Amino acid sequence: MPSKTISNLAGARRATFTEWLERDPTVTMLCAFILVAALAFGALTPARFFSGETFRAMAFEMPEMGILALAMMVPLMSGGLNLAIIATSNLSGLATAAIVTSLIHPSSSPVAVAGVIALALLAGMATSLLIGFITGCIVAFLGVHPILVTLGTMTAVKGISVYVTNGGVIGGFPAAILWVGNGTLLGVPVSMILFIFCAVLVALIMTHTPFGVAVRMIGSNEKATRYSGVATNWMLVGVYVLSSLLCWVASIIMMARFNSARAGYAESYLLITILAAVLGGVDPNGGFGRVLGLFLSLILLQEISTGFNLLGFSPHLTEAIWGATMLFAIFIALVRNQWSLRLWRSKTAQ
Amino acid sequence: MRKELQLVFRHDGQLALIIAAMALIFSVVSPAFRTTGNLVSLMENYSVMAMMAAGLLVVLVSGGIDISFAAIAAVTQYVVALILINAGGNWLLAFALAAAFGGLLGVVNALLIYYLRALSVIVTISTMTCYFALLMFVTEGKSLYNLPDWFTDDLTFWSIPFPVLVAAILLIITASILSRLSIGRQVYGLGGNPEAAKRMGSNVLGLQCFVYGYSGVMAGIAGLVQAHRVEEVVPNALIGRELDVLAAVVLGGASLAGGVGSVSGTILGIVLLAILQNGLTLMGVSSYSFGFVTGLVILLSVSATAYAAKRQARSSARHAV
Amino acid sequence: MTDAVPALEVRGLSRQGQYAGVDLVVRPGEILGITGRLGSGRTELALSLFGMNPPDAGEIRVNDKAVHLLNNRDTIRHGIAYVSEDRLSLGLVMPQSIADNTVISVLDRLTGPLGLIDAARRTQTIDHWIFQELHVKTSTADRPVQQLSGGNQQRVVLAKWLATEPRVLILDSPTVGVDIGAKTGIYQVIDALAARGLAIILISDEVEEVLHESHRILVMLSGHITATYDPHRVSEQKLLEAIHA
Repeated sequence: MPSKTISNLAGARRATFTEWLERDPTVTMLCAFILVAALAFGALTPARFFSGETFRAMAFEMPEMGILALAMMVPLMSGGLNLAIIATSNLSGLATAAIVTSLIHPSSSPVAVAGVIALALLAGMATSLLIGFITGCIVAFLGVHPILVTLGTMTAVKGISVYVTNGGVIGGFPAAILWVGNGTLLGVPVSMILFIFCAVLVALIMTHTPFGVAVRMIGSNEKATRYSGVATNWMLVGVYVLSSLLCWVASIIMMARFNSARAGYAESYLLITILAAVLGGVDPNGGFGRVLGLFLSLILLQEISTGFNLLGFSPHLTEAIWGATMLFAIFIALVRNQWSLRLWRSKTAQ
Repeated sequence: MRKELQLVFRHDGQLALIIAAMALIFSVVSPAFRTTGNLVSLMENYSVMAMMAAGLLVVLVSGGIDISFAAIAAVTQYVVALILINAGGNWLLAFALAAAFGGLLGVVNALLIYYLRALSVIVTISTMTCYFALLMFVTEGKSLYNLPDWFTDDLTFWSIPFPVLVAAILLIITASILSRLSIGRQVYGLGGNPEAAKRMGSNVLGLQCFVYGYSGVMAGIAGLVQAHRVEEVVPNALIGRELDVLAAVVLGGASLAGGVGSVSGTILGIVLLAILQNGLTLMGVSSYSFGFVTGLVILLSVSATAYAAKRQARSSARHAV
Repeated sequence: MTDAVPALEVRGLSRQGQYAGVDLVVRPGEILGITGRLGSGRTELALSLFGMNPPDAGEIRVNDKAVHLLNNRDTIRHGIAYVSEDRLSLGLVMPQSIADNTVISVLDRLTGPLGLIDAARRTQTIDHWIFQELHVKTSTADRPVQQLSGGNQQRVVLAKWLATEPRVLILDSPTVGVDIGAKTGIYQVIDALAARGLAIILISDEVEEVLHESHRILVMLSGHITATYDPHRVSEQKLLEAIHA
């Protein structure tokens, strides 16, 4: 009897449009909101919202937040949380910045510059890897709650950043690095290309690799997954390593855009990454979520953020609204779960 | 119950030993440490933190977490100060207002957590953001300086500074609630085994409102006392202390899983952090390193607790049959 | 059957506080029943055979080769599978799909050259075990497994373990929470599996079930195997007495 499994990409083409809508109410809802928000802001700030400059600004601002949101999504899917993503990014950025600024001089040859940049990037990656590995090991092998572990690593890592810089900044990078944050390739920001690349990679990993499937199963029930013969400990280590590596990529973009690195950057991003994930359909309890949903919710949040900016809202007011939106997103998730349940009940075929 | 008491004593005992060791080292390395003046001032400095820790402890015991208490403290502080400045009052009124307003903000947390069926960490991060951002928006970051004299005058009772006294009273009240009152037992029950608690008919909504409301009340009073201490209301002074408070409570034996924790442990946790930071300062270590030290202490402490718990689970499995 | 090399053989297996001096043999195509009260050590023994509860002493032999089971992944590689008595929290990941629950133990065997899961082979595995072999009643394997009836859920559990191509299948209370009609279906599946050469250990405290299904019955009491019975020659009464001695 031919299988009706349409969960994999191969089968998705055969699903009808209505089935697709029903299958993922989150995506549908987000698309609707994006449209509504665009129209609303367009009406409120006619000349400025629908301008090339606005879209350009949005395209440049989204990637670093987007990659950080991916870094938050992976642990969320495993049933945990990584509160240290911003701190990890900042420390990696500082490591990279320190090497670049101390070893590159105006007189350095292009080869030397390239070499130092490569070394610096490696240093940043190693920093992230180490933090992720330690976090993952404590979560997996010692069984400490991810919230506590990542609060601890967040504090410790930020502490290191502050101590090493005395609270100051390291800045002034060569053009090659700045290009990552501010340059374009065929009209598309380089950072956006990086973000899309990471998004596709994470999506592929989470849906089409044994690791990804295991992570989702662990998110729903770690013990049962372990009893099924999955090396859950190493999977969890992998989760935090992957999350931290994404932080490293984000750090490169942040460094490039701000032309500096310091301990306290982007701290308000933490809430927004969780918000983007929850709004995008990631279940905070673990086990469920799609990168597409995350991507759309990031677009929506970017729209709203830009719109508020154009309307002259104080950043504090915007932040308060993010807090309220998070609560709203949880409410929507609750409603959506009830709706999905009712949908399946009405289609019951034993 | 006796086995749990034993565990508490063992944990507290270990903490007390570490504290004694640290105190000894610091007294030797830096004579300024062991002066009464230093110790009293230390207690006074950490009294606000102790009050917030008492509230957080109750929430942790119930199996939840509250990240919004510092924001609640900040908002309550500002609101009560405004009222006192413009309408006058006395200490009784001040405490009543702080408790009521803080408690209200806390109950909002409880209602959201219950009716949205959401994780307490996410809800309280959201409310923290909302409360604090609105505060900054409305106040434009401006501090309040013209507090009434009766409010800012130094008070000591039998040479105990007022903040320390308030902290002590609140800690005693918290300890009594947790260990002697029925609601305290229900809070432990909810944290230890939420399914069983529900089946036994515990009023989960009521308990949630109690624990988060209590945390709010503690935070409100803490904010009030902070304003008294520094003689001004700075909107963003208390933010960022959340982790230190959580570190202290977790050091003292409370767990994110719920069902465990004690006031004695929390006090020891605060003492440990206080002595650690004070000792480092007196030794001339840059305050920039505090973050790292605190984080490290958190990690070591929770790792040690988890490891010990694992070993205990393994050895009790051996003696199952 | 009696001449075949034992699929699984256990000699003098002991773990302090749980069971001691356990000897048993299961041959391909044989259903060995183990029964005893709660707390007799049966599940602890089963977990030891599955590599999740290392014994203090004794030997486990698979296909007449001594093995040292480090963990359950090791055990699965040796061809031993374990259906837990706690289906709801250990046997299945309830909120996740039937499909994912089916392939979770064999994901590594379904990957292509890049480490990506081969969708066609995944679908084929699911079709084979869920629909063709075990006839799980569902229109699609993408539904959450918690939406199935108890009997069908147990079939998914069996599908998962059969996908690992085991030689020995340990069933721990496999029909708990399954209604009478579905029970018969599961017995049929077990019989069919034995007929195909699988060695099966059936642990259950339902005496009728053990009498009905097993070729041989072991009684476990306080961590020891106290008696062996031929189900054709022992009455339910006698068995109950032996269990509660």
